[in-house]
Amino acid sequence: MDGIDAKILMELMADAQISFLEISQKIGLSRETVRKRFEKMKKEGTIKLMSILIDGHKIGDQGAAFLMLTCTRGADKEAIFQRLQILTGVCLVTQLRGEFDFFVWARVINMEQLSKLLNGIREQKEIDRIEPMLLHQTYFTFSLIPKVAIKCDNMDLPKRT
Amino acid sequence: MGLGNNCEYEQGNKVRKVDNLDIKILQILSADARESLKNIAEKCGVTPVAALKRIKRLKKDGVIVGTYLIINNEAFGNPYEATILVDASNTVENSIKNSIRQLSNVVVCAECVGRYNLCALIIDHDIDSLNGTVSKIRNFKGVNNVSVNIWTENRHMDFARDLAVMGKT
Repeated sequence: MDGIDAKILMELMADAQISFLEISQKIGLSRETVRKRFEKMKKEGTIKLMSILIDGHKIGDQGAAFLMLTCTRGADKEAIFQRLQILTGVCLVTQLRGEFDFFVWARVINMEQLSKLLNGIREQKEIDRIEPMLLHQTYFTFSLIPKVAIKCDNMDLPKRT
Repeated sequence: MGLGNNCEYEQGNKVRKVDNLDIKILQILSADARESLKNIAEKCGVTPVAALKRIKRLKKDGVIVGTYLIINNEAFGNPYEATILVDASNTVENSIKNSIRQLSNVVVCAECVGRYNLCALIIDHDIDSLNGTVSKIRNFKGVNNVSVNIWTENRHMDFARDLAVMGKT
């Protein structure tokens, strides 16, 4: 990981679909060098995922929810972690150290699906507390220096500040 | 693919139906935003021209609003990631939200309805720096309570899997 890798990453953060040619022109290196560096970072796991942001409202979602969960003492957290991942609508699950044990990011397709999801979580006896938080505005950045702000409710186009 | 039959959105004065091809393309691009047009076309069973036309439309209509990268933060020396929950007075919620968003290591800051009214995801390079960020948030006027939860390596991410499950049926 050096300055050149960082520069390439910054360009990819701004637009993951940018062509190698464009990156090479922006940072003054050959297209082949950029491609090789990119492949290396992907292989080594520096770049974990390149994805698209979708306006959930356009495909029918009503919003998103963050769920904070705590487990009973002595619960099998690994097993709970595995079971949480497969619930419909769950996009992200992380185990935590702190007040809560799990953080779940879920799509809210409609209220019925949200209830189903919450029930699915409640069915797991080892989870003793759920704090659901419905989002009405989100700002995504996913970069080192936050640059892209996107509103969740009206989903403004990404703005560079 | 279990697609709801009525999922549609308004674009200008037209109503667009979201069809199987849209969903398929969104799923492929969610898994890899740099997937080649040739592969996308092959997987969807359409010509590359048709696939490109559809991708352009999805972008123009604002279904695809942007791209993002998830990188190994350790490569940048940033191993601490945390979910910070803030309980703030309603009257100053907006100014606190804006102050939090200004902090350079905040990745996501969301207003929410629930036990806490603001939620931020932050990345910090060491525990002292994380502590500093949390102290800053605690000191904002109107903040009643802050809950800090540090992420462990146990994490799962998949924003594409349930795309075919549609709401409006």
